[in-house]
Amino acid sequence: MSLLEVKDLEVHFPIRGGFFNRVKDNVLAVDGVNFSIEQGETLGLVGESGSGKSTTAKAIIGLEKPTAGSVFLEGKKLTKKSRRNKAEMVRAIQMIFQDSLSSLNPRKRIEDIIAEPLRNFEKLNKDQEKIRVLQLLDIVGLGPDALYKYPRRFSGGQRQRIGVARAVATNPKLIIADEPVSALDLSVQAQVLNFMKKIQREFDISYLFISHDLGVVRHMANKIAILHRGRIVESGTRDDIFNHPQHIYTRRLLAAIPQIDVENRDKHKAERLKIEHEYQTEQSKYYDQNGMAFPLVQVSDTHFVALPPELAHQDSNNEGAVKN
Amino acid sequence: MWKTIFRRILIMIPELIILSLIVFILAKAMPGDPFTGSINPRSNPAQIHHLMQVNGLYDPWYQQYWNWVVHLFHGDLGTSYEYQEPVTTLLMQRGANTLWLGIFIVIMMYVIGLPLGIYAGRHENKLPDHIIRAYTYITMAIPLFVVLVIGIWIFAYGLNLFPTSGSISPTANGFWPSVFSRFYHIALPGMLVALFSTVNIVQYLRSEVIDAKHSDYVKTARAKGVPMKEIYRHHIFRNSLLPIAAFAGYSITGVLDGQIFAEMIFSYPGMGLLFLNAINYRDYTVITVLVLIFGFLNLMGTLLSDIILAVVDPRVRVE
Amino acid sequence: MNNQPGDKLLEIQDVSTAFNIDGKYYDAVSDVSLDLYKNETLAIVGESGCGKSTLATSIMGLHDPNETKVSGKINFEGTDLLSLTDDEMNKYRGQKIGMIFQDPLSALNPLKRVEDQIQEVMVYHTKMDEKQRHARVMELLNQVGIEKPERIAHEFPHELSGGMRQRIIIAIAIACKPDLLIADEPTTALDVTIQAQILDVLKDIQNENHEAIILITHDLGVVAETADRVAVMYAGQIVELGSALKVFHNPKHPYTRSLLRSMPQRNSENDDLYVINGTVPSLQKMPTHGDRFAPRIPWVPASAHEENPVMHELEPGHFVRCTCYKVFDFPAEKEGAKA
Ligand SMILES: Nc1ncnc2c1ncn2[C@@H]1O[C@H](COP(=O)(O)OP(=O)(O)O)[C@@H](O)[C@H]1O
Ligand SMILES: Nc1ncnc2c1ncn2[C@@H]1O[C@H](COP(=O)(O)OP(=O)(O)O)[C@@H](O)[C@H]1O
Ligand SMILES: [Mg+2]
Ligand SMILES: [Mg+2]
Repeated sequence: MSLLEVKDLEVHFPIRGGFFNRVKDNVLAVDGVNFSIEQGETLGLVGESGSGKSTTAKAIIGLEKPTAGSVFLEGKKLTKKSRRNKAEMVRAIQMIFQDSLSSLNPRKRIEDIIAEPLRNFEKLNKDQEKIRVLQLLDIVGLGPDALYKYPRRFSGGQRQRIGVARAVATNPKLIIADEPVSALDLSVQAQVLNFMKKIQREFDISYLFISHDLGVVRHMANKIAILHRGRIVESGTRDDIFNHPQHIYTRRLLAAIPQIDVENRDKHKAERLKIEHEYQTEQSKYYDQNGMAFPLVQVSDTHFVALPPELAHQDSNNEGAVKN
Repeated sequence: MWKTIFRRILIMIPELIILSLIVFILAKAMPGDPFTGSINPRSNPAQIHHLMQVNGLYDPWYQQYWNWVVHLFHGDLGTSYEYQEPVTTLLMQRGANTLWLGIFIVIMMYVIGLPLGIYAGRHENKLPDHIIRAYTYITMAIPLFVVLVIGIWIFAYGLNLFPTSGSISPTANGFWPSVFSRFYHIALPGMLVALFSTVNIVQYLRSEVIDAKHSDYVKTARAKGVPMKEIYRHHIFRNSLLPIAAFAGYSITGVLDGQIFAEMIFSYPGMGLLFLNAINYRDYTVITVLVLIFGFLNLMGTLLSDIILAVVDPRVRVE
Repeated sequence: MNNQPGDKLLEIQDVSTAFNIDGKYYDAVSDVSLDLYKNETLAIVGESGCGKSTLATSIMGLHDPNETKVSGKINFEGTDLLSLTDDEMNKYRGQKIGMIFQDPLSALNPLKRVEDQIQEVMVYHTKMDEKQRHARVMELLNQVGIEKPERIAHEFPHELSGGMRQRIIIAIAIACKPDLLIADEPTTALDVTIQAQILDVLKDIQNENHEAIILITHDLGVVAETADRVAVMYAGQIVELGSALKVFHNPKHPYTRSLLRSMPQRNSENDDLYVINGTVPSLQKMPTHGDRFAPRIPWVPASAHEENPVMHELEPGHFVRCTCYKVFDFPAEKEGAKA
């Protein structure tokens, strides 16, 4: 049984308009997303801005009401509206946001910020609580002098680490990290990513790691799902995605990543332009008449691709050949 | 956009109904009745009782309210108990007076406030800015009625430069003399209210100009090689005036407040004075109508602001 | 490297830019010297706060002289830009030097149509009439890859996507065919696919107009894809300067090497990333002498640093600040990361 299972998740936002402000249309922010995360594993969710990454995350922790579909944590359905269930879930799933400054209450000291989830879920006395907070700060490499400071006194990287400390406070099983390092400099990003990995090793935490940066995702996640217009177009292991991408969108995304390879940059550019051209001409083939991705087709044990029906058929015939 | 405006107007209807209900009930709930104080103390209670009955004041409130609404739609706003005149007639005269004064105040507010706000913002933290800000703080600190009392005392009673009461001289005949006379009567109270009500415009505009000055699009314009003077004209002022333009609608409410004081102190026969008297004499018919009008103006002001904003700001223009 | 570098266009000599903070001046850019040649792309790379934008705006003369002191010389085609008045400088801005900013939404005036914003730059620098300007706008929009120029020209910025807006900004910057284009993080706010397109547009324009480009970015990947030469900045100084090939294949300065090492893309997935000790000092806490990077590589002995680090030319065109690069090496297998 997977730790987290997301089934047919849909989040549609109504577009209102017209004279009586009636619902005219829907933004299909998330439209039929399926994935699962195993204990101790990291799933990377990748996509350009507006592809529905944050909405997926919010729907899982209940900040956004799903239009349809369900989320299971260790087999228990989360989308059910029972109070106890909810409290348990909030504890088991924590979230780290991109913008740490606005997600940390500016008028609270770090001690209170980190202790807040503890106070909600654990009955600790003052001393126990302080010890726990100090431990948490230590885990993310911050000293006791941080306790009484306010968030704005910290740099972006430090704040992001405070966010990590708060997220692990309640010993969650899953941490959803929505673009946790997107606003950080390279060296600071390295620090935060290292801490996230360290915590994962120590506490066997699972991550849903959301990012638009494929390099970072490659480093963090062993399984990756590519989201486009609210649907997953391709998912698989790191190797599946990076070395055997099949969907035109995935290939285009990969080709666009700047490479540190000065000698071959002309070659890389030519390759990218070729794929871009292919994307422009064959795009319609890979999406249905509404511009949405097709249902996922399994092409190997771990690899799923939203192939158009005609290609999908072909692939299932010579599945053995594709598998590697 | 027309749809939005029309929808907004539709929404105003229930708002007005609720407003009128509240006002009506509140007016009724006030202690006392319109006849006890104003009628000859020797008149016997039976007579008052009779008057009350004739005027329907013993009917249940919803009956009275309904009667009032029905009359309202016939253009009959009732008769003022105090003045013994139809409220409509009263409003016609008073309304015109108030309109003159109000328009004068709003115009002067902008004539004074806009240049000051722009100048202060442009010369942020320099001497002119400090002086202008000192002016706004002073106007904020001194209550308006104190200013009006001192103003009438010095300029009207003391120096005899302006009249102390009324809206137009009875001897003013002909178009120009009457225009002049009206202006002569509203100049002092109007100027005083305007001078002491610019603080919002000045401060708001100042901070808008300062924000715009440091905005990225101004940096872009600088990088285009546009001289700073032109940037102020084409980018900064234009963009900062936009929220101020929208502010015009809201300012109606603010002006009404100041105007009531001015009308009281300068015995200017406008709706403000009428309102104060009506409260004194429990002149329900007048109170309800006036509050309703003030409420209506308020809603119209908000609507006007939204419309102005929609017209001038392309980001709002597309729905 | 596919461009033939031409004559020297810009010569930055010992430029320092200091900001007034609470009455005292602090250098955000210290003694930067750089040459720029026609038709080349020079990337200035470094983490946020190292002074990249400050250097760019110093070239453009966009600083408030009451709050900022810029010293040194910036020779542009023989004229020292720093000696010009604001009015004289306006003949260069937009005309000879174009600039592209990071945030394409806020860089455009929300209340003006795209067309007016592009035309504005021509109004001040050319004698074209309205009709000619319009024709040029259409030409420019085509050049930056906008498909329906007539329609787009009529829109307001908020009606366009981020990539579209950045194309408009580029169109503005190149409207007068400047000799120098300064692009400050032009793709940082954009998705990778859009980023690639924007970088292509810049390259295409360069191939056509042969202007020099200063590309400011914190993204080493972007540098490796586009730059002919690279200047690595740390704490207001250039610490390494050389051709892209040299800097990426044979980086010398400890900072350059550290940056490259902390990139996730380069690391094997299971290792920890390299973390540079400590943090970038704020302007007020910037060391005034000695090697500014020294506190971040504490294991390197003080004797290895120069007292007043200068640039050393290792090979023609490849410069490194301070002598510490000679002994610098990464600490053996740092386990975990230290704060
Ligand atoms: N509260 C909302 N109301 C309407 N549309 C929304 C809302 N939140 C997100 N969207 C839309 O849903 C889509 C997906 O958004 P989001 O999940 O934030 O994308 P991402 O995180 O991948 O950038 C976008 O088109 C966005 O405009
Ligand atoms: N107007 C200013 N006043 C004071 N300090 C400034 C100002 N602009 C930038 N700085 C400071 O100068 C340093 C360099 O900033 P900047 O040039 O924007 O860096 P970069 O573009 O490399 O991120 C930073 O420490 C920044 O805080
Ligand atoms: Mg998001
Ligand atoms: Mg910058």
